[in-house]
Amino acid sequence: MGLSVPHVEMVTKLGVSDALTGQGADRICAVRQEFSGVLNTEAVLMFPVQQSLQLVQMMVGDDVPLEQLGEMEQEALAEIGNILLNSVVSGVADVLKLRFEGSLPCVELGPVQDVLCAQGQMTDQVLSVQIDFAIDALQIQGYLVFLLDVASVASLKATVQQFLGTLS
Amino acid sequence: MSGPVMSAPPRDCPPWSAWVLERLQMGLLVLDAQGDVVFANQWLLTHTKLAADAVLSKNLMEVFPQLKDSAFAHALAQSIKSGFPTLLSQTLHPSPFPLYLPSSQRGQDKLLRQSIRIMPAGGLVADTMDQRYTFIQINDVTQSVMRERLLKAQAVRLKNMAQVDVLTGLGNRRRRDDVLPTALRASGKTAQPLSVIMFDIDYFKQFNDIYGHLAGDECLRQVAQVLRDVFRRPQDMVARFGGEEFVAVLPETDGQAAQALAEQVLQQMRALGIAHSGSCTAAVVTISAGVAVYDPAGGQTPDRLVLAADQALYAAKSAGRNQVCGPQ
Repeated sequence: MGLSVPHVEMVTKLGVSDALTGQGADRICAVRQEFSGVLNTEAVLMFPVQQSLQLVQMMVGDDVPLEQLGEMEQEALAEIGNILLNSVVSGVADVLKLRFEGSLPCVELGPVQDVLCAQGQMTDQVLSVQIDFAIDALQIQGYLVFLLDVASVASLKATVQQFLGTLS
Repeated sequence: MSGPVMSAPPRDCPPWSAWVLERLQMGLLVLDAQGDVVFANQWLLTHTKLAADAVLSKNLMEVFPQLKDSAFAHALAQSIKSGFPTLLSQTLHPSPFPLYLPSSQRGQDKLLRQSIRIMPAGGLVADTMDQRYTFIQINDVTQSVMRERLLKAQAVRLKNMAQVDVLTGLGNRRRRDDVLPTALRASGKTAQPLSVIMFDIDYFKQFNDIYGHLAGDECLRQVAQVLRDVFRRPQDMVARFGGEEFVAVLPETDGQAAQALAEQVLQQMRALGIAHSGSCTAAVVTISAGVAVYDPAGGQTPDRLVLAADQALYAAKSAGRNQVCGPQ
């Protein structure tokens, strides 16, 4: 499996939603996990529903094409999302020397706006990380978004600045 | 946030907490920092058919040697290292622990399907304890797996039923619509040719008028049998397309082979010798056929390919029926 991160940026939820709908993904599949510590964030990993179906089908090795995600397929996606989210966050935590506590993953299916806007406004800023997977012949583009409250944005900036200070 | 079970020091435990943990209808295991089991609830002992002293104060990998080097062991190590909870799904890891129904004879019955959560005491919770504990929660999801499997099997059965032509037992138009695009994609991938043949019974309307609809139905069934006899490879698909039209989708078959097979169908039809006094072609029921070939490099749509076969069939009709016409 190849994984690359071509983009990291602060954008509004609307920006993320536009990027996903631009790919023709009105409905998405999301794996969410909460992380708390010096800053509190909810990490949301999102795929277009069609790609999530292909991903699970490939992992399960099922030759019956899936039309929707059943309970067991959703759990498989939760596991895959969990591995990804845990490794990204523990990587960040190691670099920035932070301690986080994490929750278990949960899966959500629905229109982009519903998934992103369970709380807050579409104009809220989020930390968006685009990730591209390539597994065998399958190209999957996912978005990882960290929802941060105002205090956490400030705390993230301070921590990153502190980290950059240690480099110089 | 997470791991509330271990967050309270023992002295604050309400009197019912041990009783509740014992009787929870899921497996619970608590490991200490060395990976030794410090707690296993009754559900887990009953379903592993192990006694408490075979489990407690022993290393988890010693109690369950089948876990060594497994995906579970890897996930456990990762989870303890990162301090983040981990989920192992039944779909990707059906039965890591040797859990059986209590009523079954060990080894004779199937393992229970398991959904597993690993919760390391990370972050602030760890500070409230004397060491870093990890708890493992195992849910039996066998029933859900069975239910989903049953529903899927039913869906497949209903789908197949919806794609059968009741009169002849061949596929119907829906089957063709389902199979053809997939077959074309496969042909494109493997660069193997694919042929489509359209068949039409000559003067079938007149046959019905003269001999009646029951005889017409019987004639359709006989044609279906001939088609089944000629196209017998598992990958061949034959469907009744309209009233008296049939279509054969033949993967890995070039135009020449398809034409020969179509000739065989025509020949077998004539050999059946079903009398047809209303035919201007022969004294018996005959068939016309049109062949079209899919060029893997060309990338035609399914509709265009069927149209090409239809045009070839039309050419066979115009040229006097009871014959095969190839690609135009």
